[in-house]
Amino acid sequence: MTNGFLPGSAFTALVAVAIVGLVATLAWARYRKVGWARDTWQVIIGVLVLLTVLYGALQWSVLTTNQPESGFDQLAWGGLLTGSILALSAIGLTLVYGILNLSNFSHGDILTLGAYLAFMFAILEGTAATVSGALIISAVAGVVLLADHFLFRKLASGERMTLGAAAIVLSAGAIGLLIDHPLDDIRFVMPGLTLPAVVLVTIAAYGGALLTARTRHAKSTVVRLLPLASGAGLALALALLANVNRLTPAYIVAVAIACAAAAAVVVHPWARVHIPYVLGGATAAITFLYANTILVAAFIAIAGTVAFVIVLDILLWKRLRARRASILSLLIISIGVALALRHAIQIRFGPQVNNLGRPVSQPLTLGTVTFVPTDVLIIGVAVGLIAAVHLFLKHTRVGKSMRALADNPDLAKVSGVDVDRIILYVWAIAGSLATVAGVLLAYWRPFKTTLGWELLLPTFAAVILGGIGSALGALAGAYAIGFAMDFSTVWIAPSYKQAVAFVILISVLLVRPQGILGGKID
Amino acid sequence: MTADPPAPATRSTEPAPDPWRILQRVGQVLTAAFILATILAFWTGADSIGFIIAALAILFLVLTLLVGPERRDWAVVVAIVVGVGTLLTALAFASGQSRPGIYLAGVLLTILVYAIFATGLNLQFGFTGLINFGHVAFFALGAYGVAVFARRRPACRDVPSTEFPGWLDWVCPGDAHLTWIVPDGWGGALALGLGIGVAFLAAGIFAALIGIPTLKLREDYLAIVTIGSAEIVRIILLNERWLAGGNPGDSLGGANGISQYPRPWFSAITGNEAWLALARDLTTNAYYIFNVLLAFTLLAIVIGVLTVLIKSPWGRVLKAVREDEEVAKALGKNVFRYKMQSLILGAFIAAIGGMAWAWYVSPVNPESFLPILTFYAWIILIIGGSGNIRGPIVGSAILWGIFETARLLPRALPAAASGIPFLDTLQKPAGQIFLIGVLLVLAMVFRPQGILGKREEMILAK
Repeated sequence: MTNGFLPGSAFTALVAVAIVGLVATLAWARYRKVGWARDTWQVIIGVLVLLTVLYGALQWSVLTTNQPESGFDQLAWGGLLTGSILALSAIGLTLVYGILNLSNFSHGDILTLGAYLAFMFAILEGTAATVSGALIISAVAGVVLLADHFLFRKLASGERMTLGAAAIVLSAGAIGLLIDHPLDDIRFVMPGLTLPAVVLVTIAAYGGALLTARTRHAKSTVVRLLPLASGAGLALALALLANVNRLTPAYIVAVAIACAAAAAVVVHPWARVHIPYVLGGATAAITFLYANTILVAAFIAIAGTVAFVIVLDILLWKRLRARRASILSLLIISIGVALALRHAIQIRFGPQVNNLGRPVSQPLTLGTVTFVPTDVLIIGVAVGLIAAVHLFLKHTRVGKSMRALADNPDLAKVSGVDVDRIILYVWAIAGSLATVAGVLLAYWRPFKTTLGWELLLPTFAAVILGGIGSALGALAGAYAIGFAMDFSTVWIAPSYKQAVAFVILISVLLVRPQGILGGKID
Repeated sequence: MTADPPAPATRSTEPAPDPWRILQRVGQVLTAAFILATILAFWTGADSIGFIIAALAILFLVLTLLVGPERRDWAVVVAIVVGVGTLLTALAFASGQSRPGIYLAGVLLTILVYAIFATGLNLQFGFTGLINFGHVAFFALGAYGVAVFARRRPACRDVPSTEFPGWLDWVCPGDAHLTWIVPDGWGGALALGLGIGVAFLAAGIFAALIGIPTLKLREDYLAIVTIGSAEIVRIILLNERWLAGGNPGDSLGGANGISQYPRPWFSAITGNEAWLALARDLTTNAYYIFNVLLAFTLLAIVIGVLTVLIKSPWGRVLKAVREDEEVAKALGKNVFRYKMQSLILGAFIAAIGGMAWAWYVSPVNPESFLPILTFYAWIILIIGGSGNIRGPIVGSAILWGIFETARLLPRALPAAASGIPFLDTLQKPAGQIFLIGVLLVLAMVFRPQGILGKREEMILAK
């Protein structure tokens, strides 16, 4: 090969490793009769097949006339980024589509709302920043509480859950550590909070929590939160001690402790009960530690967007459901919501292009891929969240109810599924995933109010390609569309990326309108 | 489960009494004379387009008399159009417009063109129940068709050409290349006719391409595909410069679009330079008179043809498809074909609107066909009453009445207007679109039939 990017490239190696791992895991899953592995791996195989096809096409293109400007690896990296953001957007859309039977044209603008809420808080300074700091602490507490409610309570029965939780925490921590975050990004270190005080409070809180855990108050929310707070304090103290702005021994120790904790959870029954609190604390702490303004703002944006979509559901969609409104009127109303929302944002923030203050960082090179560290953050956050949603749908009561409701609404209702409550959860998940997608997109490149609207068509294409209502399908569809859109730039102008998604959408409708994994929520 | 909608009241088929007929004739003659007088007055420089509005109002009144059984609906149309016209006329003079006549003619043209545009959507949504969120694509194709071919037509020449991509040369015999020529005399009219044909063809083919994969599936697939299609058409127009034609040296196509193309009147036919200059001049009274009359004629033709079609058996099948596809299928109707015909015909009507628009504005460029235009048509339809042939006229008059009032009011009543909330917001495009979104939601929730529609025909509740 002439231009050298094809053989021996890093991505090819990764694909090879993935295939070997895949075969091994599949063999293991068949041997142990683990059901969930099959669906998941089907999706991964699909994505790999797609990559192989694209690789072949690119090879062919190189062998003929076109000399692509960027190599396969670089394109695949771009596709991975696009696909990750699309996936976050598509999972929310497909859940709403499948469960509420609403093809929500305002989904893209909910994403925009999330991005702009984050932007609004990210540019705050002074008193406003302090206030939002207080807000973020409550938001983190809320998120951890939810995690506690959904994940850690299940511990006694589900080792897999623990593993999942630990993996998420560890990967989040590791990604956070790998990324070059200067300490002055931490805006919300409270003044006057000296190191000894932090350590003292931490020890007191954790000790207190351990003691109360043995009393009859063990199940109270406050008690559950105490270890989390103490974990946060501990991590904060560590950060102040180390005064880090990059990977230091202190952090390596912290990660080692977390790894040991995760291992202990799996191995020891006592640890299984207590360590999760520590892990929850660590999650909170990492959030806290890397609380550069964007992360802080993202949490507030999630809270704001979820509040918005839930209020909208109560004011609008709930009434229309009660009235058994037709699909036609729901479509028109959702487009009305989309227009009103986007332009309300534009009235407030103006039509100009904004920046979410992505740090300027040196591009890194790994093999033949050139990327900036924040790319890793984008992919990591997306993959972590997708895994969390998958676990949520598979293993929690609410998640199972959602799948039941999408599968057969009447049967689900008869079986005692509280439809109104489940719908609130659906909106919460869709709203938060859309917000994260919006924030990541706005963090990735300069953005304006059409950010979500432009993502709507590829998102719908991903949802329909995957099969409406199928979360795994949406995931697969999103990565397929993402790769196709980025790879298309080899042959046609980049401005036709939307058209590529459109052509895929049309082809799917012609060939297999039910999508590749149609019909149910996985 | 709801009860069947009540059967529509049987309409009176008695012929109108003789005195009415006489009155109608008198009204027609008077109207014609009135319009002629207005045109003459205007042509000579008397800047008083108010006469035109009055004349059109009288024409509407006459139509009211002619239409007979549907007198009530036309009366609403007349009342609203005259009301909006009077309000805007008063505001135009009160706010000190430098040429109120020209301004009002511009607003009137916009109302007429958007009424045509929304009528296409009315056929698709109001009568067939198709959700088309990409209507602007057809509008753009119509406008580009006539703008590109206004004075030029493609021809095969032996000289090499850079105006078309090389792969298009296969249409020419031998080694000839495809290039643009500027024909003389009646050739200009031929080019224009070709342009109109191409516009219809493009809109029809595009509608068919959208329809084939979606019309057999659930309603929302069409909505999803159309919402992308409008954007795709715009991106193609933006990127493929050769589509906009042009001679070497012109900066045509792409973001620039096409400008300075003549209108399709005598100029295009005769090629007379003096006429051409007049036809390009956007400031002459003649330009506005011509365009108002043209748009009005096109609207009248579209409405007339559609009225006949809707009352025909074909139109009744469309309504049946809208009400219950399964029943129509069970009766042996090929639902897909009826839907496709409705989609394509609606696209043609939108293309006619696009042509009228292209003859009015200049330049035509991709930025004049933003996706939002589709939703102007939607709100016009929903306010006016979808499924009623006159709905788009009412809706268009109200929508532009609101926008223009918001624009003029602060200048007309500087002190009092400052107290009106949201008025400044409504003057900006973002504020207008925000209003459209809110109105769409509110109208669909509280009054889905709009002003003229029938509630039982507006399928909100199953």
